[in-house]
Amino acid sequence: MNQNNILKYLVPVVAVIVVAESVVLISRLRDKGITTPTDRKVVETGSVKNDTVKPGVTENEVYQINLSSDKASYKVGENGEVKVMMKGNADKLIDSVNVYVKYDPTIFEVNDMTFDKKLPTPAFSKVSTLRGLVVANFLVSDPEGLPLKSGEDLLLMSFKMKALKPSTHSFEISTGKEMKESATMIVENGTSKPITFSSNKLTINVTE
Amino acid sequence: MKNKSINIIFGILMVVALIGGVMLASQNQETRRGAYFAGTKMLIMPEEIAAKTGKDLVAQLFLDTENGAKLSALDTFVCYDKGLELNADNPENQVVLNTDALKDLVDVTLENVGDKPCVRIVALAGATMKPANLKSGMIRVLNIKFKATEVADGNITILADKTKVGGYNPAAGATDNSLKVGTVTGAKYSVTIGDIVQCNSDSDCADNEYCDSATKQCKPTTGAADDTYLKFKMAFYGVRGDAMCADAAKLPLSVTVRSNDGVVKNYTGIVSTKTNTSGDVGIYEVKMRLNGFKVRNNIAVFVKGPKSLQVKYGVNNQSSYYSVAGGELSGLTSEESSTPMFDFTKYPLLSGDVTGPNNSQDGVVDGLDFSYIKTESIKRTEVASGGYMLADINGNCKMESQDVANMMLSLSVKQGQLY
Repeated sequence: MNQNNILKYLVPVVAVIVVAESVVLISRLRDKGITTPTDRKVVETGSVKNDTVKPGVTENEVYQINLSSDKASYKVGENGEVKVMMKGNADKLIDSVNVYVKYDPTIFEVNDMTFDKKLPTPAFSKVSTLRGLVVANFLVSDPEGLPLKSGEDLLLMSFKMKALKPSTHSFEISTGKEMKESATMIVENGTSKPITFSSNKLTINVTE
Repeated sequence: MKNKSINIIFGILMVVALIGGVMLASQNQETRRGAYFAGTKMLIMPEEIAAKTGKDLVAQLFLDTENGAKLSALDTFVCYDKGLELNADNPENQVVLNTDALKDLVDVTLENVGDKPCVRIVALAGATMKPANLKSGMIRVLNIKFKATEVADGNITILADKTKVGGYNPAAGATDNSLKVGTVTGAKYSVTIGDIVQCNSDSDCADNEYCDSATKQCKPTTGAADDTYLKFKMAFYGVRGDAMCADAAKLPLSVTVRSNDGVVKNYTGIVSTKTNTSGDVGIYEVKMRLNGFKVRNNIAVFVKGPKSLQVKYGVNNQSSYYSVAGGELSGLTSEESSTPMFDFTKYPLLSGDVTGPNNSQDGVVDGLDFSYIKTESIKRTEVASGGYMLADINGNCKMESQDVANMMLSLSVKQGQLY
């Protein structure tokens, strides 16, 4: 009778422990993933890096480039304005800013670019319907560079746009994947190195 | 009573055993087939390599295996920057395997990874190598004999994420035979202008060279007698005739010819001849036999200098951007005396490509080039006549605002062409 009582308690205890063991094992496998040798992260020195900028990535980037419009939705034929603002999380001296904003010229007509008065006159600026790009290149001749404070807003460019046909389309920063000459880049004074940034996509809905 | 005690002890033991099982299950367990049984470092030696144009630049690939792990196979990508070249037709001729380490060179192919040229190398120990003969520890696996083609600085890198290293696992019945690639270390290289040998006749030059009658310099023998002979004169934007730091020998060219039916040949390290020492525009003449290129009509010529963007020339006396596909240069012959001298001086090479994201020229004029030239111009560095500075765009031996202005103009002109 005593033995039966012990078994009564022992069997459920064993069952609970077995279940707990299974849960621990499975959760471990899930957390770590079942990796193949090539999936494993390895230290890489001097490897090829195609992009010095990572749009959409926000952690650890010095600058955030924000595209915004006065409305999220436009009717065909309606006019609007797009602003490209830049804000940093550190004080920096800037030597150059090359900005390339991708758009679809069949959906939007873009014109009338304006720039922050703090920026020098662009060495080159153009709305390229050929490439579907709004281009502005600022080269700072001052030996000290252009000082930008942490948290300071800078209007890289704004431009007027007119909706041409119904569609949903995004304006976005070009990183040079389609054409290496069209890589948006911010270069630091002194080091002559690119400064990292993140950016957003501006999606606009055009209706009839 | 005795039975009761035994049962309690037995029950406690079971519980302890199961708790131990839970703890073991929570440990990292490696149960997969093909897992790593050891690690290895990879490195290129020496860490800094120098070579002259026209000569070989040899990079040695080493592995340093851990815990005495023995190497049996390698599949890796080695990438490089400008100024180096591997023969696209027979790249395996430029990879020399250390057969003490690996016997069989299975594959050598050239591939671009991103915008970088790379060579993929696959090598195996082979069936004839017994485990006892496999190498471990620091192993020189192979040498890559790059041809140094133009003046440049750059890096030779190993792509760890594309590399697989196989080894011999001595454990009985072991199926894990991969070595985990840990730290990889590349090398820096610097290619400088090769020695120029003055000559009066072919006998003054090496076996694979001839004496160029125009320059009285030994140049590599290029091609058969019926290959096309190309002559043109050209200029660099902003470089005057009296520029004292713009010697032709310091400005070797890359010349690419393309026929309208798609035949393309590229020639690097082409040294021109400067024909004037005064005037607003420095004139440089190029005379060269096009090795393996026999097309005489409707060709386009692409020219790039060591601090210039590549420019396409499609017509004689070209004075603006040639935006048409193909080319119209015609009437070329195989003879230096009869082939026409094309004039490209009215559309000089655009200057300003001096650096890029990897600290080497990238074929683009952008903010990086601007910042580099501006930084150098602030230093007001000067060199003696005949010297060379990468950022001295106008070749007047001193860094100044004019160099920055020339670069800015180049950027504006190039962007106008692109957009």
